[in-house]
Amino acid sequence: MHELTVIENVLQISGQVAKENNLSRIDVINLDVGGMQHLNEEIMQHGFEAAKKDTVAAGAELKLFWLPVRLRCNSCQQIFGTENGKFYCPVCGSKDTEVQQGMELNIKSIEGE
Amino acid sequence: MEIKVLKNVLDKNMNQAEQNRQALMKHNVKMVNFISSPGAGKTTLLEKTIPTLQETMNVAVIEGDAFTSKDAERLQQFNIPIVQINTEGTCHLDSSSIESAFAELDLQELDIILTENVGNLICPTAFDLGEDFRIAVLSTTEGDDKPAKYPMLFRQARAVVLNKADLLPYIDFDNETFKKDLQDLNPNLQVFETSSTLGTGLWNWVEWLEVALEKEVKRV
Ligand SMILES: Nc1nc2c(ncn2[C@@H]2O[C@H](COP(=O)(O)OP(=O)(O)OP(=O)(O)O)[C@@H](O)[C@H]2O)c(=O)[nH]1
Ligand SMILES: [Mg+2]
Ligand SMILES: [Zn+2]
Repeated sequence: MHELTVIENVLQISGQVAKENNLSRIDVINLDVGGMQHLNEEIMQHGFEAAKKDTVAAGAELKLFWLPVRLRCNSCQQIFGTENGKFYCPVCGSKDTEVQQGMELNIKSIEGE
Repeated sequence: MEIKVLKNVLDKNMNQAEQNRQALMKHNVKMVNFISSPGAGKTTLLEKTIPTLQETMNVAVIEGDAFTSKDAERLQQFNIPIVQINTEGTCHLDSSSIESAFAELDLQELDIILTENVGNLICPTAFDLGEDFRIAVLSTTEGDDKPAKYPMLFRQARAVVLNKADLLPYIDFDNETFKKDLQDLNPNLQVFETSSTLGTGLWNWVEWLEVALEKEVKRV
């Protein structure tokens, strides 16, 4: 359950950014989460509710933007998803691929006053 | 007011991992990160791997364990430096715990560090320790569908050790499906079938590991 470690880091970075920008409260934290990350939304939200108490984000909402896995074929450059559980190119069959989207775990922005 | 951040959440861990990597490079030490579910056989595999590596290399082990020091105790017979990290229930090792382990090791004297992560197929994959490569250990009793379910681990691993091969006759494990799924995920992946308790299949694995570590071997 590294969701909790992730949440701790989210709050730590957001708190730092809020301080640098003289925010007295954070209302929203916008987080990009890639499909390769195996993170569970429910556990994330539960963890966030518990951990945000007594922080500058105590009243904040955590918005998760789930980014599905997208691979690029290194042979024919086709970009494809893995919703069907297949990690090889549907066009040329090549297994030589790169993850183009899906590894994200980024704080996009925070909103507050 | 919206403030753009665009920062990776695990930034701190990545930066420390990079520092660990620099420290290892400076002393010409290679580090391997073993990841598996609880009980797949990481410690047993290490028990069978260390004696051969030890013949030509100075080996140390970093043992990640959620609560106990049982695994570290099992490896004490080899008379090698062992650092125990108790993660106190946390499901993974992180790069700062590895940094503190380095402080207890004499990197100058070492060739290889074998790191046994906390038993978990998911969480350790998100935390770079600064290792040279990862080994996924899977036991046959966990099922042949694991590659498709845990693509992150199997894409990142340099090799997979399919352990408890001695149990294959008793269970419903489709080796073809397993290998094909692995191939689809990561065509460069090496796969070894072992029984760490019976000692079968270990030779290929250890031989490959020695080459993968491509070490200027310092004689012990
Ligand atoms: N049948 C069989 N049993 C094995 C094999 N390898 C390990 N075991 C048994 O599986 C159990 C767990 O082995 P460990 O080596 O402790 O597994 P581990 O991955 O280190 O476990 P954790 O550190 O707790 O995650 C022990 O009872 C071992 O004897 C094998 O190849 N075949
Ligand atoms: Mg163990
Ligand atoms: Zn293609």
